[in-house]
Amino acid sequence: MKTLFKGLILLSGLVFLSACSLQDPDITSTTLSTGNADFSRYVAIGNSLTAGYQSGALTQEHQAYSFPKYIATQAGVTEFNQPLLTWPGIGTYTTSGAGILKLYALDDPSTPGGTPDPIIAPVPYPEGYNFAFPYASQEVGFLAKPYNNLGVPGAALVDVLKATDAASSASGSNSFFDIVLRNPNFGGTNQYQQAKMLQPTFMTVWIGNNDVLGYATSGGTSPAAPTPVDAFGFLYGQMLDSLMTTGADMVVANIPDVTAIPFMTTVPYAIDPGIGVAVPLVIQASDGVRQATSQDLILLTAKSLIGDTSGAYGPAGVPVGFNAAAPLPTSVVLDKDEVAIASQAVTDFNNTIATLAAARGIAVVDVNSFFNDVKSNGLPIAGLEFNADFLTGGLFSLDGVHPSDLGYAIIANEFIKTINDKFDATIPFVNIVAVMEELSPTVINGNAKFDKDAFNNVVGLFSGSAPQK
Amino acid sequence: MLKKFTVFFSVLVLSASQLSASGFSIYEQGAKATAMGGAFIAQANDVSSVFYNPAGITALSGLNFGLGTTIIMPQFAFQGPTNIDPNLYTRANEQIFPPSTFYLTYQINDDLTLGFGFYTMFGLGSDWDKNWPGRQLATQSEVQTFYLNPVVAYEIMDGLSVAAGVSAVIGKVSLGKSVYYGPRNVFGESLLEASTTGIGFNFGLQYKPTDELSLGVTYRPNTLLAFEGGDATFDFPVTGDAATDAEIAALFPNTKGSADLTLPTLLGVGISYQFTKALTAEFDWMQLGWSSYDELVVKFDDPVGGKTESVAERKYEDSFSLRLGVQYQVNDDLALRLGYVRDNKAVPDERVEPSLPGGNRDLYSVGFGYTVNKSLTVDGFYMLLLQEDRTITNSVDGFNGTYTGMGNLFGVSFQYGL
Repeated sequence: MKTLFKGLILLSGLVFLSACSLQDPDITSTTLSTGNADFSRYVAIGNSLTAGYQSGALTQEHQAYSFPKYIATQAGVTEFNQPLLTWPGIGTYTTSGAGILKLYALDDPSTPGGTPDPIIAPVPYPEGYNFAFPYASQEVGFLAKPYNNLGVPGAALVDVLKATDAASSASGSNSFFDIVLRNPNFGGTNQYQQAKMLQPTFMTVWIGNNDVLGYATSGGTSPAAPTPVDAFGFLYGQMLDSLMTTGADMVVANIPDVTAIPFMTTVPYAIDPGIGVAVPLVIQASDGVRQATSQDLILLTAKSLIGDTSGAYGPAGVPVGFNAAAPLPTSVVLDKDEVAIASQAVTDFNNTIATLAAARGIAVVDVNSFFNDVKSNGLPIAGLEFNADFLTGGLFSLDGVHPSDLGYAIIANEFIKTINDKFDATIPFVNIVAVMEELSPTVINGNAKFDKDAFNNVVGLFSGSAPQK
Repeated sequence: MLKKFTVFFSVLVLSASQLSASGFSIYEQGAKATAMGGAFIAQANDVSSVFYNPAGITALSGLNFGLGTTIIMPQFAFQGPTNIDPNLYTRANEQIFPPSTFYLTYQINDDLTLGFGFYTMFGLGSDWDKNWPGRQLATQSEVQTFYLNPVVAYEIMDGLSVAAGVSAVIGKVSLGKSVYYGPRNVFGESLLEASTTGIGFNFGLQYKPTDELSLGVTYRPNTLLAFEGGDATFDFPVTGDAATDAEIAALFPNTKGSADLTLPTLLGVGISYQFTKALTAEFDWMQLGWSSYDELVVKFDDPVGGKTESVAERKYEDSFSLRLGVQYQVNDDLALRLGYVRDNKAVPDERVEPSLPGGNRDLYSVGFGYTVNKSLTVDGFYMLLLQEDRTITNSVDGFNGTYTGMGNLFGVSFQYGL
């Protein structure tokens, strides 16, 4: 009896154990379907944001993480050519003899204590850097067809249908057009025409940022106004109609608030000049010299000017920004009136984009709302909270304007959401955690000797000229 | 001139659910009680009463020993997170937890009985692969509390007993997760290990107005566990660049940490009724008072990522469970038992995370008791834990998805009386 009883218990236990276990679901990861979209030939039209520009330069190390490249990978696109440039790339500091920005120290070890003081400086060009042929390889530079990624850093809306080289670009000297479009070899064609040559089946279009960004990052000085909204609307409609002649499906993205980027929000309007209490900076505003308020934005470029007594920005011996005799120059301040102009332009442009796209049945990636939400609420992803802060927020690169590798991945996912919705597709998202694992550590390279003063005065991040976009 | 850095660290946030979720609490402290779904506060008639309701030990004559083990085999999985891949399915590595008990009771005279219990009231963990998408929330987590619990029980009058006990509570936590240092694109592993001792109390009351009816109350006030001098260690891969490695080491020093945890108040009431000579049923209601804890503060001796303190909001809800148990005495030697438990979640949706995701649970138990001889009794049970699938859409950690889980529990207890 006892043995039988024990046996029964044991048997029923085993039956239970085998029966009672967690059932795995049928689908354990999303499988790719491009739905009604055809990704056989994907072309990306745009500016620096499409090119994969970051930390003040375009280099292949980060072009590998451009948002169109992410989309191409996720959508299973087999061929996606980009104008890959060799390290340290081409960008804002090229004319000063250096490429991409690098974080040399999160907090300057020579000034321990106090407020953290990061050292950010561009990487000098190695000897023999070939500026005439900066491509990563012969194959890249001599590719016999246009690049799939036709994003040109600095491109304005008008450039898409007009610019074929540096001279014909809106700025009159944007050499990225030479690098990306490679005319006259391609017959003097613009971004739209080169896209058409590739017979695209799908396009992403993200353009118009530079029609207001340059105004904002130059403190409202260069250019002195954003593109007028009427002109913007005319050009945008014309561009969409031209791009639609390719027969490709497309999505367009709108323009994120240019006053919400770290370039605008990092330096506070009141700073402690060494007396233990923060005082509002004295600025050259549109309405005259006055103290800054919380409504004025002090640009990242003001950082190295504040407190300067060299006489370069005012009378020698008078600290800049703390005295009416030496206000912060207008080029490093976006005062409240200029903020209003820039914000209005973004609103107007985005309304225009929404209207024109809707009329043509084109879906809009609402990057603006996305970034506004991130700025207000942060963006937690799998336990890590991203936000719009400079250096530590994770989304922006060292220039305070362009996204980081992870930032571009997050943007790619916003595009993918819109594409999936519009085209009934299931393109898997970029796995942000997997990208975090994949990215190589950005090491300081302790062997690189640099003269900190030289960087601060000559080519430091905070030294004057606004990053080119 | 820049805003003061605080390089973010999820590791600072000892997540509340890791340390206090009802999922970590173990109520399976005796095979007889557990076979009846733990509905035992009113009956409380074997040595495990030291745990369930110490007033019940007044009915145990002479000297009694009890020894038992429960084998807990949980399985859980997560599908998501939706911002990475809503379909991505990850199963936690399966683990086996064997919380064990030792009980002793001694009747000094008709009125006064002393008892002692050793048990593990919290003692579970979770183990996810190091490279799973939730690695910044939890990789390996383990919480253990051992109770050394002497009690004294007194029979005030026929049918009415009260008891009080004090516990030395030994608490141990070990929490691992990944930390991402964004400015350098480096993943490191963090580990927090701490142990401490606290003092807890327990009280019981048992009242038998008739031969058939029994009522019981058990109460444990909250117990403070002050973890001090715990080790926080960070393990980052060597980048091969001395300056970078030095920067990381300076930001993430191995340091000491402290945190005060409060184990929640437990209040349980039960009623049992003997319908026939063979058939007894009990119904218990139990509440764990998590709601009084709004935040968890962790302090570090050296700043980690520029911060020496982190405050995690908890905002838990009280959780309660309903327990129903039935015993059928087949003959003088053999009893068969059934039980059902409805256990409600304590962690609100937005705070659920994968260290040990809580959820509403239904538990079904079956078991037996067998009297081997006059002195020796053996009890055994099997319990099936089914957790409702829990889909989170408002995670504060950006970790929305669906948690699934279940568990198999087996146990055996021996009681030997002299």
